[in-house]
Amino acid sequence: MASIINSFAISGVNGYLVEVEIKTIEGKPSVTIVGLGDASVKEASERLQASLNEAGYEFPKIKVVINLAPGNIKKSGSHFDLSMALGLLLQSEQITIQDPEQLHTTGFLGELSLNGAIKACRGVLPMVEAARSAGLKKIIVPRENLKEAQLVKGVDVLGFSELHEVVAYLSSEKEYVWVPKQEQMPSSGSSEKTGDDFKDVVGQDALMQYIVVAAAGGHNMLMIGSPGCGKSMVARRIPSILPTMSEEESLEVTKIYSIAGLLQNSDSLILERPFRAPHHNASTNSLAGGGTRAIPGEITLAHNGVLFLDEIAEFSKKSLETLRQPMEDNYITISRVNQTNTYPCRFMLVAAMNPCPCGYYGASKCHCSDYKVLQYRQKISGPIMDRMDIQKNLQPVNFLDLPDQAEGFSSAELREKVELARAVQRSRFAGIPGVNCNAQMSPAQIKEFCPLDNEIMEILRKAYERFHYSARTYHKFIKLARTLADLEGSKQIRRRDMAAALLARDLERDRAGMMVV
Amino acid sequence: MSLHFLWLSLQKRIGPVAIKKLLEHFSSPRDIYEADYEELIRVKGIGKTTAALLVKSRSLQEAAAVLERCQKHNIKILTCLDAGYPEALHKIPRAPALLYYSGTFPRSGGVVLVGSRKCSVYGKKVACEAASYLAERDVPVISGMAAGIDGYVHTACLKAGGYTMAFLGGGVDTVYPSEHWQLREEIASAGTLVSCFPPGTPAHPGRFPSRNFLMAAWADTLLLVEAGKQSGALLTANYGIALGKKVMAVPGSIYSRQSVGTNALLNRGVAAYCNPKQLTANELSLSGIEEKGSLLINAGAEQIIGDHKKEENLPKNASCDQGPGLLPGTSRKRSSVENKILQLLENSSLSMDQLALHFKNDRLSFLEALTMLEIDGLLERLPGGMISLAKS
Repeated sequence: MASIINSFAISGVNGYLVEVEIKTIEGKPSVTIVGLGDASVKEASERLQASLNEAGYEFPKIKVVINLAPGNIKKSGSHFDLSMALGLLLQSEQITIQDPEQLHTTGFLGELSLNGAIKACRGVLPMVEAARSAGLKKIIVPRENLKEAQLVKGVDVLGFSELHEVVAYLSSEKEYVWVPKQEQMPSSGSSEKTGDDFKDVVGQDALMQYIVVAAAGGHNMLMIGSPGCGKSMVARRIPSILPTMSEEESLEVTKIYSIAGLLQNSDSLILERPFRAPHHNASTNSLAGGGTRAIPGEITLAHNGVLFLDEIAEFSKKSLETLRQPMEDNYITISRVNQTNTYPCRFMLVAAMNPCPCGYYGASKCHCSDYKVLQYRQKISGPIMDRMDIQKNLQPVNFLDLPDQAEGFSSAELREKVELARAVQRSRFAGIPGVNCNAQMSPAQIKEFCPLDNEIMEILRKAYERFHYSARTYHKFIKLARTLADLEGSKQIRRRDMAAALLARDLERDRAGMMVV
Repeated sequence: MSLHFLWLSLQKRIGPVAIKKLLEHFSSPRDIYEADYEELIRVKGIGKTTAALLVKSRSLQEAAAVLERCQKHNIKILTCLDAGYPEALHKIPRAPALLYYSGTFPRSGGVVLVGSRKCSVYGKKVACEAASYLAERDVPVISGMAAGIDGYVHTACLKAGGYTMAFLGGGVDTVYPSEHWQLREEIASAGTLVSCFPPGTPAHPGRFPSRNFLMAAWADTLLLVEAGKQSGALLTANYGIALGKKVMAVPGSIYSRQSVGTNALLNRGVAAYCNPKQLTANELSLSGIEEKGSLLINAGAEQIIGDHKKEENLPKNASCDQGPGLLPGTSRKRSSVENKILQLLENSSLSMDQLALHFKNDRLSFLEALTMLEIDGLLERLPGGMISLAKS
């Protein structure tokens, strides 16, 4: 009878149970691995032979067939090594297990080195989650992944660093002892703060108001400014004022990073919202996700956080257009020959660009004609620009102009406001699927939640006349006004909210003032 | 007939002067085409080489191709034999004998407004003001469709509903610079695109001087808005002076790189442009210039004029500095925040963030006041987002 060992594989951001079946048959010595494994799975046979040998066991000199069930889903990764090795040892009766029932309720993860050591692998968190949901009681993981695996509650996680240790534990020769290193004491959720704080941003008070609005209402934002005026500095600090992630959100993010192999600090959940800033020559696939194994891209890595596109006008048109659908849907499906994965990507888009080709629009040294400026700005297509609720100009700050006591608002202070506004929105949109914040309101919902009195309508009418805004900005202004009101805890949209919202689209104002046909 | 004229204009060694001489001698372009060597050298000014070349290149293939292209792109041809050929060009032997145009039939005369490609905000303002002034008076506004001043001139004229002509340094169907493709379409539908180069000829700096000459020859008046040291616009002005046209230059700051050329022109005795009225006045010394000139010339009258000016301006100023009173055209009272903003902007333009520094405690009130002031038209946004008090 074949030996069956539990292991796991990843599909998208979720793991699923894989039964590793090992059978030895009389015949010419060979190892065959079936079950649609990729190269890293197939190569396991060589690793197995060497590591078993090194660990003091014998590799059976008969025909070995290994099956990864379910056999109709493509699998990849080197973490099946441990389960294959154990199955082989059981099958060749080199080890005996006292309690076979125990084996059925245990899962195994780990790559083997040729020396018989167990090495870390990626995607441990979602696979341990899969173990729990499959009803397993225990899971054995590489010691290096222990902390990450322990983030999942409700399943016993054991970490080993050598193959023979696992064997000794299974055959009840040795009790499992966990010797935590002193500095690796389970930290009580205090993730490393990046230290970026809005306190450092001085002299851009008006802009700050709109950044808070963007963070509070989930509005996407575009900053326009000359080189060196602080666009990146501001963007980098936006995650620090976003509301803290719920445990569920943290787990989602940590899972994504686990799959992407980016979990550097592998002993705790990621608690800070991610900030991703891909360079402008990033390929379409690195943004959206892709590759032969359909791995997550930048937009998925920015899930629950901020995606910052610096110099957005320099991104290729194709890459930018790719973002349109995922921004609407909050998820992206990537289809490749090998697999089709669906990844979440609910992010706040913050973009920055120069105002004109030379970068110094409005300054005396800028000689870009209005046509040239417009041509430059049109590199960002209408649909993408349409998704930017806020477009603000940034002016370089002259520190000599600032009063001595000038100090920015601290991120903690701002975050408090943001949290308040988010709480208001949560209760407003409770029970409405797919809508979490003001930015996501549909026209019908705007009508319901944002009643406007005559005075405000009059201001809107006048502003449209004078500022030459296009008609499709109408809903954006109302949404922004809603967030401004929420920030101050006002039930009604007041005149001041609408008035402030009307200043949020600088690029469009520029456009109206240009001397072009 | 135009096919043979086209053939003649496409000949490499024969310029407008020679063409006109030939036309004087022969009754039609067809006769020139069919003339033999002996007949040709009998024409005064046609040498042996030219005559031989004409006989040798007796083929209508190229001309037919150009004509086909013209028909395809709806480009029309205007020759010096046509009735609509401007009188001004007849007087100038060097003026091209054959022109390509697209759009409405070219109106003769008009005012040339040219300037540097890299212009300043000042230059843009002057150019737009002059162009719309002319547009309102239905004077043809002529320029070269280059970037900078030229582009603004055409745009301002079109926006004011005027008639504009663009003289191109390439074929009528080419776009240069590329960002002007939309402007080109607009000019083609509401104005005229003119070129002395056959369609398809790419724009090239080497061709700009002949375009500039044509512009200067076509117009009655030329205004040089801004020009650097070696600007092509300066060349246009020089052609204008040489052809005896009325030429003016816009005075600029002596420190501005864009005004080096215009100021140099003024030094040479070209009239200084101070008022759009000068563009349409028959004599240079007419109304527009006099108003401002009298201030200088009649220094003794300064006192009186000064007082008069003050009185004139008084009501305007009063409406701006009234303090917490009623806004013009509205029944709204101005808030203290609004007054403070107006006060801060009195002497300089500031960015929104610079203004916000003064309203640390209530930013929302500040933003509200700013919007209300802008809606009421009391503030102006400069390119790049700076805010200043609205003029007038």
